[in-house]
Amino acid sequence: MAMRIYLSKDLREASRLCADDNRKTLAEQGVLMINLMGSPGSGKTTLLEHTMRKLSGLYRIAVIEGDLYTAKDAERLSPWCKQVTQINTEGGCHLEAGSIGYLLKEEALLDSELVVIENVGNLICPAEFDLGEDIRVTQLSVTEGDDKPAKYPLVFKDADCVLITKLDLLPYCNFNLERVIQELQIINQELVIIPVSVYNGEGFDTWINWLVKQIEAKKKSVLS
Amino acid sequence: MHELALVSSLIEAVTEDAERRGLKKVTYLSLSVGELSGAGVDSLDFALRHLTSGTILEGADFNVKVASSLCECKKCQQIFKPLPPFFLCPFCRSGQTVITAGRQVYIEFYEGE
Repeated sequence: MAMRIYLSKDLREASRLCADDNRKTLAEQGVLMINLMGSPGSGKTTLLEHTMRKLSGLYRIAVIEGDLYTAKDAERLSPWCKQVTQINTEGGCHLEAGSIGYLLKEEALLDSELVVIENVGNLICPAEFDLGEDIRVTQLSVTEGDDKPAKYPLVFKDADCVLITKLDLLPYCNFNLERVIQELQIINQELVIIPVSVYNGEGFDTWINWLVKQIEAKKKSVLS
Repeated sequence: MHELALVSSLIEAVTEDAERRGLKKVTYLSLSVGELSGAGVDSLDFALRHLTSGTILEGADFNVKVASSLCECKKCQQIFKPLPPFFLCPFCRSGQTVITAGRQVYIEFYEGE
């Protein structure tokens, strides 16, 4: 006999529950988890290489690398991290909370003070999937063009921090930095915006200091 | 762009529910997709047709509806229809707004036998 069943089920519910579990696990351990998002080629791995170089002597850091294929980014970061795990999505356009939750069962990851997830290079899909992170960082390089916040607003609206990268290339790009900062402030008034170049060092200490403050705050939260 | 992942979760959820009820076949499925969910109706339709092959949903009719979005202003508490790209509040022009509906992908109901 035919029957109609009202499921009223959000397809992202399972993923959201996993994200909440991840957040709880990390909160118990005082581990800060960052979800780094941005276009392919915006310099996410390069930023992480420099960040790890600076912080690996101070903190125990683990990195989760999300890519469609290859372990190239994980290989680049392995000299600087306690642990690097590569997730190959085999064509998938984003990482999901379930995969991160599986990795968080590993002792080495929970023994870290900072876990950085480098999401799949994409300004659309990763914004829709909560991984259980404490902080969302979206990267926008000046070479991508200054129209990106208006074209892909959600990945900027949901972020806690936006890094405007490759600042050393600004003189060679048609990128109106002032207008982009204004637009980002309209999209999200609480956003921390840091223009940065890892090559000439501009803004890099501001990023590191901000990150250190977040790591310390998370560590303190578990002690109190 | 992430329609394949969404449809895979959908197949899993509907199959689990239908099997629990002893249903042999799903004949119709109604899906509500938020207009800011990042999921395209055409791509969802394509994924539904191709990924359901060999499952309990094979041959089912699908109805994918687009659900409107809503925004709430944190400054003046008004609720309004959000307008990309900046989602500004039309009442006080503030950008301190939160999207409260329109990002969900929702299975409304299915029919089976």
